[in-house]
Amino acid sequence: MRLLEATDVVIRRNDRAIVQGASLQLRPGEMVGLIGPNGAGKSTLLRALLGLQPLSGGRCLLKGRDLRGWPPRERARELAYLPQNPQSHWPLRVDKVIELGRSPHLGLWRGLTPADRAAIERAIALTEVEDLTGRVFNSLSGGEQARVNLARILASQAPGLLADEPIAALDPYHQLHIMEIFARHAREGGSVLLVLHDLNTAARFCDRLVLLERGQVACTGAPCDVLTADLLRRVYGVDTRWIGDARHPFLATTGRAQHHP
Amino acid sequence: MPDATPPASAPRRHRRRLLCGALALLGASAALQAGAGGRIVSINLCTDQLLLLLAPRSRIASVSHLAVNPLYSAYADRADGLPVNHARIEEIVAQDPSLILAYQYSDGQLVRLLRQLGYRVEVIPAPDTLEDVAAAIATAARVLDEAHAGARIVAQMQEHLQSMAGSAPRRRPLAVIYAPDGYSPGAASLSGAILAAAGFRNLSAELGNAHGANLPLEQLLRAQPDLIIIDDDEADKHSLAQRKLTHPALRQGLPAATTVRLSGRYWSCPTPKVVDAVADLRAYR
Amino acid sequence: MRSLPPLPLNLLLLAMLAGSLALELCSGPFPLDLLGAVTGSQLDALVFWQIRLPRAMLALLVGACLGLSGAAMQGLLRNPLAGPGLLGVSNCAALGAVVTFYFGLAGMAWYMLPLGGLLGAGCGVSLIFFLAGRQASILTLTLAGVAINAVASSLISLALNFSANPYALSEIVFWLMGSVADRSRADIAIALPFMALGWACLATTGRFLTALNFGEESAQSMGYAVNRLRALVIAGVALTVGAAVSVSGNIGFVGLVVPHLIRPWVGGEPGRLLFPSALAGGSLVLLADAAVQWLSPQQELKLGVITALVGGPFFLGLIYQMRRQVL
Repeated sequence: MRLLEATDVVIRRNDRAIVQGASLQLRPGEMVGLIGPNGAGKSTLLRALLGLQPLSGGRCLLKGRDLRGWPPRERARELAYLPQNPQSHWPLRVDKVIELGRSPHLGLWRGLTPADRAAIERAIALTEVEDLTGRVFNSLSGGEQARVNLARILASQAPGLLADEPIAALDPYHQLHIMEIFARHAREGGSVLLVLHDLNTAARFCDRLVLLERGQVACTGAPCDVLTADLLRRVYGVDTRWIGDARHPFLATTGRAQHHP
Repeated sequence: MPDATPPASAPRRHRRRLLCGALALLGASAALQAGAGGRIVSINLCTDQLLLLLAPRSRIASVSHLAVNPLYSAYADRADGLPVNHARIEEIVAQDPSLILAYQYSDGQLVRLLRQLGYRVEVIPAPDTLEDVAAAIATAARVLDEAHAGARIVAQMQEHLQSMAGSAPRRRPLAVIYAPDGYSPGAASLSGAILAAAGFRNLSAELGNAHGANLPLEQLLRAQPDLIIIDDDEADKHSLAQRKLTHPALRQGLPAATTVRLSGRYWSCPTPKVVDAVADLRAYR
Repeated sequence: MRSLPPLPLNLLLLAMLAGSLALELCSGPFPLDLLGAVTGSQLDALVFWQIRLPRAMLALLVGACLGLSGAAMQGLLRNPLAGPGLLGVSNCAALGAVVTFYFGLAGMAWYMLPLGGLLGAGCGVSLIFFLAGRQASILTLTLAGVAINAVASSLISLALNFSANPYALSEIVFWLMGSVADRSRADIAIALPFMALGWACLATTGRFLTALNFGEESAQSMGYAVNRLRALVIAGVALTVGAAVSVSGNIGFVGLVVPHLIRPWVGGEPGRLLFPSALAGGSLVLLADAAVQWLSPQQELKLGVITALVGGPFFLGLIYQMRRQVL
């Protein structure tokens, strides 16, 4: 049973088609990487799958029902979103930030229930932010903030985690840490859809890749099938080569292609 | 045969005579007008009253626009049909006045400018006492060349006042004049003088206000005056200042007091009507 | 800054409010024995119930409205410089009230005056959103506020000029600087229903305002119906500010200063800021009015002068602190 399904999605903005006829599926237990050059429409497609971006054509289904028919709170219990560079406006404490993740479950006046607290505790343990809970979020480093944000979306206990470049500004250690947490979520039955720039990270952690080119899906499949030299040359305009061994394959970029369309 | 000498002596002399005659006529009429004085303009409500009271209609060029309003002007009927002005310099100059009557509260700039332009402007002082009222009437009468009429009016006023002063007051009740925004005139004001002549004590004066001040409602209530005189002629009641006069505490806090409305046209200008105001007020003692 | 849990904080602020109320009730041209007033002579009781209590209650309610709406606006716009006064909402409310009052519309029904204030405030808030957009930088917001304030105050002057009443023009000071002098129970009666409705609107938006910390899209993804809740906040602000300004004029700086002072005590959470800001706003206006009565017993001094004397330097300090972040 697919968690999320997008069929022939078209999104226009200011008379320009950002996404034209893209189709995508997200199933339980898998981590999918959404890759493509700048301006290919990855972030826009991701937001459409969350119901944040209205469609000009096509449809999105969440658990088989049209996304537009889902009440916001129920939808938020299924899908959690981590945007690119989330900016925190107020000096909130870390534990309050993580509590925000429970929003779809909280009543108007009711405080946190034991179930809420358990979910928050688990999220904190998974992301290893126990020592940070008393600190002010805005005073944390980039890596620490990324982990806290991840704890926030994990606290919602939503099966689907959709994140837009969650590791872009992080050092190698924290990049791996974050990706491992996502991988664990997928292993335990959740679904993860990530917009990624780094092709090697995508190749290493994702079960499937969706390559977007100018608003359309150029290819879908396992990393080895998508990350072929011809396709990458055509879509990214760079020459690539697989180096390393079978255990640690690495996609090296050797140079810009001579004839980039 | 025609020679060089022009036969001009006869027509020239004729023209000269005509010119002299015309000038003489002009001079004479000017002298007449200056003395008897036509084209008098009044730019203030109070000077309007004095002008309408003392001078015949034929001498009046214009009065202020308030003079024809019966709400403000005690002699509005006399002003009916006269041209009105709004105390603007172009209006006044266009009427070429021989005399301009201004009040102490008229715009000082306007008065200075008119005098600079060569017009005769007489400023009547505003009265703080009943004696000042008589003096103002006398001054206006002198300036308007109607000394007789002025003297007669003043004499009548003093006679009326004397007759009222004759009956000695048994007690002097406490009164307060309450104007919009809680303003209450004190001892050194015309309203205060009228109040005193009618035999009342003035709350504002007793609180030490010389000319006048805004009285807080609480102060008014604590004093428990016997008479409240509301000074609000304005037909349009939409202002916060006037709303103050209708505060519920005023009604409920002074159950024993009498409330009367003051008619500003009798109280605010130096005319014999102030004596009528004193008489009206005495009835409430 | 240590943040306090909700209960101790609110109890502390309530105590402060009660103290301010007592101080205000004792302020006036004459010393008034509070206990004696409730039981004592008829005149003392009359002064207490008809003059002092309405004035104090109105100061409290207006202060609560301004504090609350300031906290709500700062939460919604994600901007510590937002406030009904600075962004022109109060002056727009005053314009609505002036047009209703001086042209006879207020007399048509009891609700016309606060309705005029409400419509004015609603226009002001909508204009802010229209001019500054949803992701408004501090610069854009402040400029929009300056523009709206300028237009609104000149329109107030124009409206007063057109009034047939000779006192109208001099009353501009009341509308631009605010006052609670000489108020009666009638003023509270007409404003309170609108205020209460506004409070009801804003009370339910606390969690939403906190969720806006990461932006509108994040809040939407957390399950909040952003468009509906934003409209609710705007309606709440329009109701509270409109009703308050229509009976007391524009008392400035309360909506800016109060949330700012309280924020460290609630750990920066916009949602938790709402109720404490209402309490603190009430205290601030009560204390300011008590100061007015002590400083000028003849009541020439307007309330807005005191709040400006406190709020102005505070605002300058705020700008100084933020100068690195502003642009």
